[in-house]
This record gives sequence, C-alpha cells and structure tokens, in this order.
Amino acid sequence: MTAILQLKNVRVCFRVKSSMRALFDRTSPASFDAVRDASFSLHEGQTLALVGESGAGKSTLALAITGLERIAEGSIQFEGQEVSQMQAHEIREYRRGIGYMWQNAIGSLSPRMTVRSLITEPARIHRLPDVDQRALSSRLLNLVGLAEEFGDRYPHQLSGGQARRVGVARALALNPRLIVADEPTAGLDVSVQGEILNLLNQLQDELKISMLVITHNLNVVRHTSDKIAIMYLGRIVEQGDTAEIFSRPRHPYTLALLSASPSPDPDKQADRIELKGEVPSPINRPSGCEFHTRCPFAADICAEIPPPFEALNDSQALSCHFPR
Amino acid sequence: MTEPLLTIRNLSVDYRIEAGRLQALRQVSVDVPKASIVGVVGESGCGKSTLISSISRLLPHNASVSNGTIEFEGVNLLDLSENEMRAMRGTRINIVFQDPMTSLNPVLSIEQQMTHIQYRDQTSRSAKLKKSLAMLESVGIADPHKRIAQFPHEYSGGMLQRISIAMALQARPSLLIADEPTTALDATLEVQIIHLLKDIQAEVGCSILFISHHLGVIAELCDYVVVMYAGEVVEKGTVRDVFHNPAHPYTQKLLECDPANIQTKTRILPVIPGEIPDLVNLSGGCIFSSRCHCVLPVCETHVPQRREVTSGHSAKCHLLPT
Repeated sequence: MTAILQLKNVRVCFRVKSSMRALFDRTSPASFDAVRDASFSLHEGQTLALVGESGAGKSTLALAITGLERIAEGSIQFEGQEVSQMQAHEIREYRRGIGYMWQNAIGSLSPRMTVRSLITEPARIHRLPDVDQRALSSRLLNLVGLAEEFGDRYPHQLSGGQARRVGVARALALNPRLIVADEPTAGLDVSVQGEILNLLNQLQDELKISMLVITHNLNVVRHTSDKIAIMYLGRIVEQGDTAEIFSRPRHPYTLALLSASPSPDPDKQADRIELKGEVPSPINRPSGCEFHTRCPFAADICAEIPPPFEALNDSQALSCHFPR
Repeated sequence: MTEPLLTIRNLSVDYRIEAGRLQALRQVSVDVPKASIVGVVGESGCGKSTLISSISRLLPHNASVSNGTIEFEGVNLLDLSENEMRAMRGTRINIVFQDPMTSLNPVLSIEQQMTHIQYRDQTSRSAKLKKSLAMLESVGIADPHKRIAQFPHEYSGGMLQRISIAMALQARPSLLIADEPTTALDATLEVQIIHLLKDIQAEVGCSILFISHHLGVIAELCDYVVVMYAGEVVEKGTVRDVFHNPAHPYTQKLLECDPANIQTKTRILPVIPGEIPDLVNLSGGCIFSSRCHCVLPVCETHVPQRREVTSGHSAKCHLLPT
C-alpha cells in the first residue's frame, strides 16, 4: 500500500506580535508553534483520525496540508509531491485533489446561493468549462443522498444533517483523492451523526477516497478510521491502529480522553482518569514533557526531559517516559 | 419519590407562526423532587428549550401556554405577576446557559458581574466581593483575588462555565436549571464540570434540572431522566430503569445509536430513519409512529396514554400492557 499523504516533522508557527514590536519588546516570544514535529502517513483508501481537544492544532495541521497555512519546517508530501514548494498555479492544481469539509457546516455555505450552485461552485472556481453543471449537481445530490428538489433550497432551509450532506457534496465535486473532514459530526444529534458517518464510510468504499477526519470525540472515529493520531498542544503524542489504541492505550493523555467520555450506563462509571487544570498555552509551553502539568503519573524526569516519539511496535508509537 | 420541588402537569405551549399553530409542547409532565438531579434528554427540536423558557417564564412573545401548571414550592409559576416572577428568578430559580462565552458580558470584569447580581442583598460592597471570592474558590478557580478583576476573554471556556455556575449558585437557589452546560466544552473539561455540579449539588442541597442531548452525561450525573421527543415526554423514570430497561422504542433507538454503546467496530452505524414530524399539522396518532421500528396500525390513529412499566417508570407507547 502506498502513502497518499506523508508528513515529516511539520512545524506551523503563528506570529503573536508585529515584527516591529518584536524588535523592541523582547520580554515575550514573537511567535508560537501551533503544530510541532507532526509526522504521519496516510495510505491510499484509508482513514486517519486526528483527535485532540480545542487548541491541539488539529485544524491548523489540516490547513497546512491543503496549503492554506504556510509551514515553518518539515515536509508535506501528497502523492510524492512536496506541497510547501509548489508554485501558485501548482497549488491550485493540487487543491483539486483534496476535498475539504469545513467545521461549521451551515456557516461555510454562502446564504445567498442555492444548494445547486453551492455544490457546483468548485467546478467554476477551478474553471472547468466543459463540466455540465446540471448533470454534476444531480450526480452529487444523488451521491450524498439528497433529493433533487434540495438543489433549489437555500442554506437556511436546511437542517444540520442536510447542511453536512451539502458539505460532503461540495468536497466531492472535483473527484478528489483525499477528503479532509473537520469535525464532520460536531453539533449533530446522535441519530443524525450515524447517518453522516455511514455516508462517509459508504463513499469511501465506493469511490476509494482516502480520508483525514478531525474530531475531539473518540467514539466517532472508532468505527470510521483505520489509524488514529492523538494530538496535545500541537504535538502528536500517540499514534497507531484504531483497534490497538482502543484496546491498549499507552499514553496517559489517550487514557484520559478514552475515559472522559461518560458511558450511557449508570452502573458502569469506571475508574476515571480525571485531568487536573486546563490545557496550557502554546506560547508558554511547559518544560520537559508538555503533558506533565496535567499528567496523573508524572515524575521528576517528566518536567525536565522531553520524551522522544518512539515506535513501540509496527503499529503504535508514542512519546512518554512511562507508557502504561 | 421524595418531596416534590417542581411539578409540571400537562403543560402545553404553542407558537404562533406563519404556517399556523406550532404545538411545541404537548401535555408535558415532569417532576423534580427536592435535592435531586433530573436529566431531560432529547434531540434538537424536541422542546427542551421551550420547557426551560416556560419554567423561567421567558417565552418569546409569539408563544402561549395553552394548558397546564408549573408548581414550584407550592406556587403555580404561571399565576405569578411579572414582578413576583422577577423576584423568583435569580434567587429561587437560576439558569446556567450553554455557552459561557456569550452568557457573560464581555465588557465588564468578572468582579463587576459577580457583585452586580447581588443587587438584592442589603450588604456592603466589600461583603459582596468577599462572597464572590468565596464562590469562585468553591468552583475551583485558583488565585481568585487576582483573577476576579479579569474580563471574560482572559478566561478559558471551562473556567467561564465554572464562573457561570458560581454566579448561578450565589443566591443559593433551590432549583438550578443547567441548559447543556458542557456542550461547548472539551471532553476532559466536561468531566470536570459534571463532577463540580455533583459536588455542589450535594453541598448546597439544591435540585438540578439538567438538559442535555448527551446520554452518557445524563447517565453519570442524574438520578431521574425524562426522555422527550417532538414536544412530548415519551418516557421517564430513574436513570437506572430507563437506561437499563428502556420501554419506549425511541429511547431504545436513541441508546442504540450512541456510538459509545457500540463496542465492536462496524462500518454501518445504527440510525433512526426519517425526520421529526411537522408540529403544525399533527397526524393524530403516536408522535413517533412515522419513525418507529415496531409500529402497529393503532399507532397511526390513537395517541398512546402514559403507561407504567414499573413503579416510577412510565412510557407513552401502545406496545406496553395497560
């Protein structure tokens, strides 16, 4: 199996003050790393899930992959091509291969366009004149399970689940090889959530698309992804096969995330690893292991030496001094 | 059940909209016993928010209560004058809203907001400040003396939700309404807030009406649960009874759909087919009949009555024995 997307030590950096201010005010850093040392590879036809809490750098990493955010270091290769070195016209070509589902499903749709014009917009943006827009919109609506009459509706006439389907249709419009889905089920009811996940699964099976799913809900990716990467404060702290991660999580943060989701069984409230405090600011990163401030198992060494990101076996890797 | 605090009987609320009369709540009965946590669970459009607005009497202008009573500490809230109701809100009944970022005023410091809401107390400013500090400390804000002067944007979402809870409990209300207080928070913070609510409930001794669509949270936090669908209470009982032995097909499906309940990996997740019915033109049968997996002919013509499954556990379904 070949890797469609390969990331190596990607660092994305955000400026926090103007370059002029940074010259005179040296008391605080001028920039911070939103993503640090992120490496993973996504194989063709597979799904990789990026999981983490808000501020973990998941969406930033996704933007970097689509070329919407510049990377400071490292390499991103899509089908063997280096994304960060592409010229403007190459980027345009490249983005045609990636479909993006935005986090805010209704907010990402222009309120003044009909569904039909929204889902064919990618073809117009990429100036594909020989595309029959009527046929394209019918094909896409059919693909995502919306009736033909939805084509004439406006975004405010859609429910959350329907808006999500329109988002899927937009992402599919240019026959991409990769779909990036940013929180595809956030804010949906449980019964509708299943519908959207089933749709993504089904499309992947039919069209052989690779997928990168971003979520904070581990239960969502359990059934959809082949691999999981857990992010904390811009770093991937644990990575591995989905089944492996669920059956034997090794990093304390993964353990905490897994146990954080309350089970819908009043008698099965298991021993929980409750994390103290909140996620630290990426501007003032903790020393050593960046998770040590909240880790229930932290020892002295954790505050001093950052643990290396090491492979445990073929299918699992993590950075922790004391894996469980 | 122990002594009741809040008793809602046959509450029906309508909205006047262009298309006609939208029956948002129909014959809703909910009991909140003293010093207990009652969860209300249901998907969007089931009437959870209308229920809260009815209790706090903050319904929009196009809404009207067509039937029912809301008895709170022996008084029917629907009979109170506007002034009497205003005295009730913020002292006896308090609400924690979904999004702490928007429920606090961004241009006032936390100190100003926390002392302002004590305007009813005839105490000095320093006493009010002292009380605010104590409340902040009790909800786990470190270094409250320094932090109280800060503004909402200087806090994280989890902290702001703690502050909202502190503010809601300042007057020691007997009923706290929590409207999806953890939806806007991350999973690890959600757990913290649930534990905080549980501890505080035990300490203050108030009752909590906890609104959520997250089944796991309800199972963990609540004593009783009320399942709502399209403006009706379809099932209610103790958390144990309802979650272990769901009687209504909707509750069964809802539990089945929760991915947290599916242990083995599957490519096809269960869903509830169909959509919430139109509440303007009601069909006359069971409200869930169009989506139910075990529908009978009688379901489409007759509205089912509430039937008891076991003592304190009831559901509205024709399948249950009378």
